[in-house]
Amino acid sequence: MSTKIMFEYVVRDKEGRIIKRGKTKGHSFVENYGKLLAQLFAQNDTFKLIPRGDTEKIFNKSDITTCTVVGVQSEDTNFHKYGIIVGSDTTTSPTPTQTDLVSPIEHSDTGLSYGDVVVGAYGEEDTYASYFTFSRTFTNNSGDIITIGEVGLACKLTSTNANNPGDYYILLARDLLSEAVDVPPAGSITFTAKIWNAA
Amino acid sequence: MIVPLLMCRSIVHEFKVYDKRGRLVRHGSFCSRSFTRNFVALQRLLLFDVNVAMWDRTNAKYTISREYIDDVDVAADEGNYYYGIILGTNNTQPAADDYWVKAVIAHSDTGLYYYAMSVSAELKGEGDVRYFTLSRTFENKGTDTITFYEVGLGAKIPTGGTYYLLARDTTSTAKGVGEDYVTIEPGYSLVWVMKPQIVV
Repeated sequence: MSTKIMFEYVVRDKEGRIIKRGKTKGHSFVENYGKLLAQLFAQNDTFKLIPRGDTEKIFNKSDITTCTVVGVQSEDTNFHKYGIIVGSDTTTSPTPTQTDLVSPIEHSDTGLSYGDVVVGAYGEEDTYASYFTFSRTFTNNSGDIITIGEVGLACKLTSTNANNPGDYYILLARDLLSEAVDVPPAGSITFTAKIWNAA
Repeated sequence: MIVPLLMCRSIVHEFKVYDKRGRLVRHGSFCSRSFTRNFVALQRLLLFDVNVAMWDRTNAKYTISREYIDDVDVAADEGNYYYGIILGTNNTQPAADDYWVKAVIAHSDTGLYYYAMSVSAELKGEGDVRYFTLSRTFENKGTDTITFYEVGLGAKIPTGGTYYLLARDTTSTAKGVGEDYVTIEPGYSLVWVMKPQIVV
């Protein structure tokens, strides 16, 4: 809805030097995001979403106030399950029905370490577009190259519905990188997501 | 004809005009280019626990806090032309900082009659396209033809200035119309459908 999302990335080596830049096309919102926006407009008593690696769950109207993509380690031990997330798949095209990355790379202190999600700028580019951004840096703490092929956006949503109370992690967008990206040992990759209403 | 807008990553607008006997006399569709900065702010409010700035229908700036995200309302009642789908007569091209339909046609028992909004959260579509549906019926209860050039979507949020514009479009890009405006003759009715759409 004019609601595009684009992921830009910057890869740095162990010395912090930029060794690669790139971005996705921004065609990647999935059904869950459509349902969340539909709920925003419809304000039904309940709504349903499919969490990552799970089956459909029911949320109460007020649960939408718990939605967040800002995973911060000091506040939530599950901070790496939402926000910008990455995986290793390089071939599966995005479809609206996807509810998780195809091959998620899990957070690990000795592998790919997820940083905090950092809320970025809000701005206006011209009379037809406004946008906001947020970013996350992933650090390769392993001794091997880690290859990233897919990137996604997930939120945390807490259900208070009696049928399935609890925290859930909802994939909102997924995209393939145009080419797989290698993150060298002790290097990092920073993804910045931009959501905007380009004309 | 209604033009399929499979690549539209925004709102698909569809409209149908019916005569006094309920016969379809005119229809068309086009892709929006015009979610406003208020809509971007609303998405920011949805994804972050932050306060955001929004501009009401008088262009007054308000700070909207997160607690209101479940109070957004586009389902305007019959006769209410402050939110929901709103028609107007100005054809200035849309901009992100539009804050209201520029020349609103007011609800009237003897002019343009606004019926209640219908909102469906059910996600429809197939292939790479998904959408949900907002619609409103209008009727010309006057004696003169009504011509409009712009359409907007307003939301009611019970804080600050209460009424906030989320999208505004002009009909100049409408397909199947043959003109850059839409008319409703006396006694005729109009059904306007907005389909906010995502395309992978």
